[in-house]
Amino acid sequence: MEGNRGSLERIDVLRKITELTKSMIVELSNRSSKMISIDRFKSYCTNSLENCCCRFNLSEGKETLTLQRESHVRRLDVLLRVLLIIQQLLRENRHSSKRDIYYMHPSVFTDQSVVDRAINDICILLQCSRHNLNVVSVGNGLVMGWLRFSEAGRRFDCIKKPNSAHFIPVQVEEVTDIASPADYILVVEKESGEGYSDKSWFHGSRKLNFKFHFDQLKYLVSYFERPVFQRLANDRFCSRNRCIVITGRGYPDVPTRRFLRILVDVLALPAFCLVDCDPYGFDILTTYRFGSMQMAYDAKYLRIPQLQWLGAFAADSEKYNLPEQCLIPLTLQDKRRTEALLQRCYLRREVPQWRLELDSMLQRGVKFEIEALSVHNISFLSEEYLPSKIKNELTTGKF
Amino acid sequence: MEFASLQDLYQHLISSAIRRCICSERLCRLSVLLQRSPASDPPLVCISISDTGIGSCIQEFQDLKCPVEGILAETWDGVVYVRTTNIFDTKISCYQLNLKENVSTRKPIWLPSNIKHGVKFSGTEVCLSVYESVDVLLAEMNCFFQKNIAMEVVADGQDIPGSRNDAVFLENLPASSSFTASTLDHLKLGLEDYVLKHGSSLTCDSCFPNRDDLRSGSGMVCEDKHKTTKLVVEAAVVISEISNSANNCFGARCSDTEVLCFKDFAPCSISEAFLKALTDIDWKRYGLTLECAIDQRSHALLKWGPTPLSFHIHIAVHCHHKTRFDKKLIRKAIELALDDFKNKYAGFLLSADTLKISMFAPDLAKAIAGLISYSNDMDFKKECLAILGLQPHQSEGEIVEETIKNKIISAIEVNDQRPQGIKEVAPLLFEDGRRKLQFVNDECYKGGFDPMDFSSTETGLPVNLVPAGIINRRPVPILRGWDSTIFKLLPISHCYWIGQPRWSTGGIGDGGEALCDGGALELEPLEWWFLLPPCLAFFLDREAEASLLCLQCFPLLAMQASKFEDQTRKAIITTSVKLLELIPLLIFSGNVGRNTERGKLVCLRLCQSKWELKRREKGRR
Repeated sequence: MEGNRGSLERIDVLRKITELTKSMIVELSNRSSKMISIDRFKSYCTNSLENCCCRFNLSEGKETLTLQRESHVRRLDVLLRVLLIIQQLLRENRHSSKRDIYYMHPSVFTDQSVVDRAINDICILLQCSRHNLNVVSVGNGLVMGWLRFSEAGRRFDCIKKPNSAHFIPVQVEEVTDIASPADYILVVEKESGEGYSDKSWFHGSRKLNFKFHFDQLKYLVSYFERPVFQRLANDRFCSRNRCIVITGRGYPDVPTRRFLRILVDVLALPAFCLVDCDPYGFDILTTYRFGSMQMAYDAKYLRIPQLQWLGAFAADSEKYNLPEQCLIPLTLQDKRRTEALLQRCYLRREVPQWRLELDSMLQRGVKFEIEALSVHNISFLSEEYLPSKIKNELTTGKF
Repeated sequence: MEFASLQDLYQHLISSAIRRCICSERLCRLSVLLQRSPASDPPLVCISISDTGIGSCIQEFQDLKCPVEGILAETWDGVVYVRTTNIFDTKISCYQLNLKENVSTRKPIWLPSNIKHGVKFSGTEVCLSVYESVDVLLAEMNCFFQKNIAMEVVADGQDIPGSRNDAVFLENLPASSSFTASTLDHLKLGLEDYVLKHGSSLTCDSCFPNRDDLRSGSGMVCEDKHKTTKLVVEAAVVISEISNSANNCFGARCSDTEVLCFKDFAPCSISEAFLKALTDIDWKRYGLTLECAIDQRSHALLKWGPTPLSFHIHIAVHCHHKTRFDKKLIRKAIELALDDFKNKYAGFLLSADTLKISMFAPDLAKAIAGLISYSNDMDFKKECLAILGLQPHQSEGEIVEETIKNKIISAIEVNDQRPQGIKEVAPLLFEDGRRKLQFVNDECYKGGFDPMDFSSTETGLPVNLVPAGIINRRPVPILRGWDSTIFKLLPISHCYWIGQPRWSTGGIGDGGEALCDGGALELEPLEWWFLLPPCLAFFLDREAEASLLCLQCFPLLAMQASKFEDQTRKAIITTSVKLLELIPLLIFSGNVGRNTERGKLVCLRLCQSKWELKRREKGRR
């Protein structure tokens, strides 16, 4: 049944490719330079609520690629090359990663982001999602906890070892047989500790092409193995709490978001998100809940409207007596970014309390990482902070 | 205005005469007569420049100044004799001025006037005598006319019988050249002529074996801020592809561009504003990189970089109706001319951006062709081939790819052509009439009427064929497009017919001066009238005199009716009447001159080339 649906979808996408090709030929035969028009989508705007149309998921006008500008023609060149590859993938029902596509014409594509943009454009043109193009991306995300599922016939049983991390499947759309006795899903920003304080020397030394000795590398590995996700695994958080923990390791990729969305839809579990108390953490939170600007056209399949913000809040620094050393002043860039975040329409419309928390951070002028909560006790996060927060949410919240 | 040389002086006087012709808005005649006084040593030559334009005013000459020292002062006494009359004047005023005298204290010496005897005409004759060889003057004037008017100079050395210099060049010019063409068209055609000849009196066959090898565009802008003054800037661009640069007359400066500048129908020196206008042009939009613009006094020289061009660009700019240059308008006019060129000739003067974009065409075509050929949908493939104009058997990837590539390049080139804004075009002569003429012409042809077929016409003599009010409209421009063989039959004399003078080629003399002998045109019959080339002309009497105008250009048939038998002559007349009835725009003016009752001249030009084609077809059979 699943196979039939996929086959029909493929045929439909192939039909749309022929229509697109035909339209281009007709334009050329009319000596017109207007090759294709791509709808523009936005996941948010900065208009007042009265003037905001983002909630309707409508396109915000069209972008026409013509033969009049070099930038357009370059983009068109990339788009057509990628479209040709996709047509072949669909015809032969093969899958390919974005990276594979990039390496087919690296000198033309010049950068992975160029291919990503072309794929997004094609999705909009053909009115489909990326997985419909048989283009997959290797998932960055990890999952652990009380969960079982199958992917393309392969069985994944996380429950056997609930504190072991598993990669999120590549072909998320082929995930079936999802089963879980969990009470909630916890989304954490970071798998590994990517702190501000000690990280700079590492990046700096990378730029200078330092060669690390084996001992140094061991230190580095141990450094990055002090993560929130890893902390929870080490603390056997999932053994003590019946839950599923997911991380996208920073800004979440499409498979992670899509997988989370499927879990939330199928299991109907409450989902909580734990991010750093800084503008970047907040932006990651909004990406999970509202979708990203780049893939706004597909936001309806990727966003998780039920996601709740668990922390860390600016007020936590006082509530949990974080020492001043753990609080980092907001940089000018942080402040600008926060102010820009405050302008987003969906915050005003759907989560005004998030705006208050964000504004509170701006007023205090400091930020901190989740790891800072471990300042008094290394297991504070898994033993006190998270259980109390989740209990509070589950009892007082809408769940 | 002080003149440094004799050349400057007569160029100014001729230019002024041309200006008066243009202002008169009628067909005019300009005569330049070089007459050597017998037995004078050093040789004294009388230069007479006469025109039938509007009359001149004394202020035109009052500001002129001859230096008291120098070469010019040695060869010329500074005295000019002027005879002039306006159309409604009852007499011809005559006076002399000594331009060596102080401008502020200078006063004309009035000479006895000539009575016009009620005849309406206008014109000016300026005479001066200089110590100079006729050959030198002739060479300079030839050069001037070639470059600026492209008509020929003929000098008559009266003291030596048979020494008349008939330096006339005639050629078949395209039918697009027309009496009704605008000054802009003439600028363009004149520039083409100039390019073809590029300095010599004959067309250079090695550089440009064919006139069709030249491609041209033109543009014109008007400024009409004030009611009284209106600056008009016209520009023409001619591009010639150079097949063999080694044998090219342009030599090392093959890829440089000469920009000729004219002001009020006369050549002018290059100003700062003009150079600035040239450098301000966004040449990259035309795929050109300007290295520098150099003032070469008689013209501006544009040097292109970084690589030499494979073609040669020629530009001419003409500003009139205002004293100052407006660099913005000059720039705009040249840009319009370049845009016009681009719109007419796809693939030429493509902008740098377009060239860059075109480089993507093969890749785009390959991808689109791939999308077609890799598809399983046979109906889709067939449909695509049909849209591309290909047959089902032409479904090979390479053919499809090549076709798509050509279409992409074509679309890209179309983009490069700017939509032309409202292009201001000079009003044409007989604007209304063109349509009528076309209509009549077609009707005539459909009805089996052949103006060349005189045998089938009835007889009858037109009594008074008066022009249909055309004289007061714009002047008829140049004399072009005729069959030069006719001139083997005709005498050629030493003056010039001139319409819209500056950029014409061809055109040829008459047998007299414009104003002489106290009034009416003193024309020597049979020596001038039929030199209106692409005409169907009927001459009824050897002594007839007439002035005439013509319509659209085309087949030349000049007939001297007196040479025909009576029956034929009558047939000719009847045909002419028919044509007159059919073509209301016939311009005909008879009865000008002394012997008005003795004959009439009907001159008629026919519009379309169908008749001519038919005639040629018959000839071939």
